[in-house]
Amino acid sequence: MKGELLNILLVEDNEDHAELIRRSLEENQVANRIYWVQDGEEALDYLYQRGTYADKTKSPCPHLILLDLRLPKIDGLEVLKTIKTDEKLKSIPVVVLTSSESEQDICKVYALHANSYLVKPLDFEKFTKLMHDLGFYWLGWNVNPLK
Amino acid sequence: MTWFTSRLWARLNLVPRLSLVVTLSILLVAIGAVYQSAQYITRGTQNELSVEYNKQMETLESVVLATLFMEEKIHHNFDLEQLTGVLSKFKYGKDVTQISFRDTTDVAAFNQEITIQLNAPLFFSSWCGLENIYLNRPIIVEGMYYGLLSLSMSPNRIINQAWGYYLYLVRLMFLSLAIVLLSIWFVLRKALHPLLSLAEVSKTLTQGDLSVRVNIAGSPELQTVLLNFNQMAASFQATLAALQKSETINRTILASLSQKIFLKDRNFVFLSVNKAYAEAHGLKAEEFVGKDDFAFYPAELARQYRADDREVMETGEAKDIEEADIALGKGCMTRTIKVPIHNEAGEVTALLGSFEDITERKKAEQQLEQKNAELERFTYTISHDLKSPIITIKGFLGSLVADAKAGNMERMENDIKRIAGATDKMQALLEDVLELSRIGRMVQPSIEFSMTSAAQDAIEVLYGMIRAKGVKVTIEPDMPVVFADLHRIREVMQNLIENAVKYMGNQTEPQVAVGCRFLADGRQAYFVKDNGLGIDMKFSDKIFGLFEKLAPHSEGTGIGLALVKRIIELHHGTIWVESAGLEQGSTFYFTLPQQPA
Repeated sequence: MKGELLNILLVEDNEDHAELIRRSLEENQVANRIYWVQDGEEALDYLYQRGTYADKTKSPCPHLILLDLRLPKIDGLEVLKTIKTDEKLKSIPVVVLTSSESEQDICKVYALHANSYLVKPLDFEKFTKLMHDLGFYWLGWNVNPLK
Repeated sequence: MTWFTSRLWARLNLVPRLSLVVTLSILLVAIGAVYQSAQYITRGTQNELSVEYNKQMETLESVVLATLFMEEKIHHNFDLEQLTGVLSKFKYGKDVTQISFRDTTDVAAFNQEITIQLNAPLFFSSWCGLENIYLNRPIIVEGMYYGLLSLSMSPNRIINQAWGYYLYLVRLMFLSLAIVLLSIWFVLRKALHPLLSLAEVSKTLTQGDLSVRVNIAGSPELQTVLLNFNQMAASFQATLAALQKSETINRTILASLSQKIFLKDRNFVFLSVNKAYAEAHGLKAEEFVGKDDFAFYPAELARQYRADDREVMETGEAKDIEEADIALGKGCMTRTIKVPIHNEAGEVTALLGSFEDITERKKAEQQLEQKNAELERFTYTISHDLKSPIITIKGFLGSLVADAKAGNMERMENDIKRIAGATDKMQALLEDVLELSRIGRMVQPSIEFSMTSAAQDAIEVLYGMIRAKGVKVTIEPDMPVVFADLHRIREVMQNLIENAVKYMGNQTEPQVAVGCRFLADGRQAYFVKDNGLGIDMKFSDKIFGLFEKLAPHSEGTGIGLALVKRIIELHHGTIWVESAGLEQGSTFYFTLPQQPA
């Protein structure tokens, strides 16, 4: 689709999953750049440009956040809450991508104003398809506030 | 008439009453009879007397005339002596009291007086109204007056006779009075005897002995009364026995209930409390009756109870209160149910309350809640963490196929490594889950052992690791002897020391110390202290979570501290971590409440 690079912040503690997501998204036609952090604390450091993420050019503000729920240190819900209650960050679309199908999680996530809730499919085909659709929708069709 | 309603009359028994009435009646009749008999004499007697004595006067006159003047020779010669002789020999009537003759010179030529005594009382003779009768007759022969003949008569004899009859009558009356009184006495006494025994029996009944009965005796109507009375008493006895039986049952139920029960009236005064209620206050049930809350509780508490009671009585609706109990002073929880009691008109007349100690139940509820939450967290964690490797395996298998088609050997190797890693992870997770579930299910009997020896055992297991990292470990030599599951506590020590050694960071002089100290609240706490990486205190709870790791790349699944926490909690202890921050080292503390040996 159209020109400009889109930045995705991937918050995922599982390295293998991160690799799978990265590969699936790379196969998309949408041009994007993935920034990967492994826990909640790192994610917030990135968003607030603290510590190792102080350099704006190396860690630009993401157009989309892919957020796992179960994270070391600060968990996903806490990260989501921080993002959605921060005036500067709250407009960034947050897609929760988790293996949890718990109703409680789904309710909590939407109550905290997440933009989408997606469950990681077990099946590889489906996983790839989901990533494809996700990129197609959020990076293609969806009008991003930061663009 | 008012006398009959007076108090004196009301106090008289039946026999004296009847006797009095009969006596009074007979006296009245006696008085009436006196008057009647006197009146009877009056009527006619006076006339009869006059008539009779007029006749006698005539006879006397003719006798006088015949005696003095029938012979020729004494025609003009009035012989006084002869007259006196005739007059004195004449047979007079019974009532004559005086006979006299006066000659022409008015000299009493003859005078004879006869006294008739009055035996009756004066009032009687005056009621008779009889008077003396005087009869005078002048003696005149052929126109020649010779003198005056006088007769005087008294009614005394007749009055005496009437009085005599009267007295006879009175005697008869008194005799009959005596007979009547005697018969009243005998007949009534006999007739009333069953009534007296009835009074006696009813008195015994009211005193509580319901087994007594009246002997059936007396007149038929009285017998009916007594029979009915006996039936009534029998019915009372049966009813009372049934009541007593049900009362005993109710009392037994109330007394054996573990709930503490009380009953208050509309004025908030205790009517009754059961044994459990009294015993909870260290008092006897009787001590509550007639008193209110202010007699047993502090004023503030009593006011609060009063407010609850009032609310129940005013709204007529039951109230269920769960509260921390201050009255019993044990810091326990109680549940109080207050129920209004209505009469037939629907008004609230009393309040029935029951309360029970629900401390244990509350504790169990809390524990259950805690367990449920724990279980939920556990299930959530397991499902999430076991799913992750599957996603990895399936994902990279898919990728492997694509890579094989493309002939990308490098990626294939990488894919296979990842798949192998994920299966290892899964195996480790499963083993940990099994280990965790074993704790609590497989409890080994507690034994006495020294904490120092438990720590030393742990160090032996970790010897290689400690030496490789060059860590200096010190163990306090005389730690107390505890009573616990040795195997598990050794596991705790091993995990804590292993963590301390593992997260040493860049420390050039790594040190670990194991010891114990007393806390501010007097509890004894054991600690494992290091001078390594330290922990950001905002994660101090999270690190004890199942499969939680602060460093994603570190070895292990993240079960160690979850396991340790579970073991300590099974021993009713607590575990926590203290750290001044990153690079400041950390200290893990745990307590082991002294178990009864």
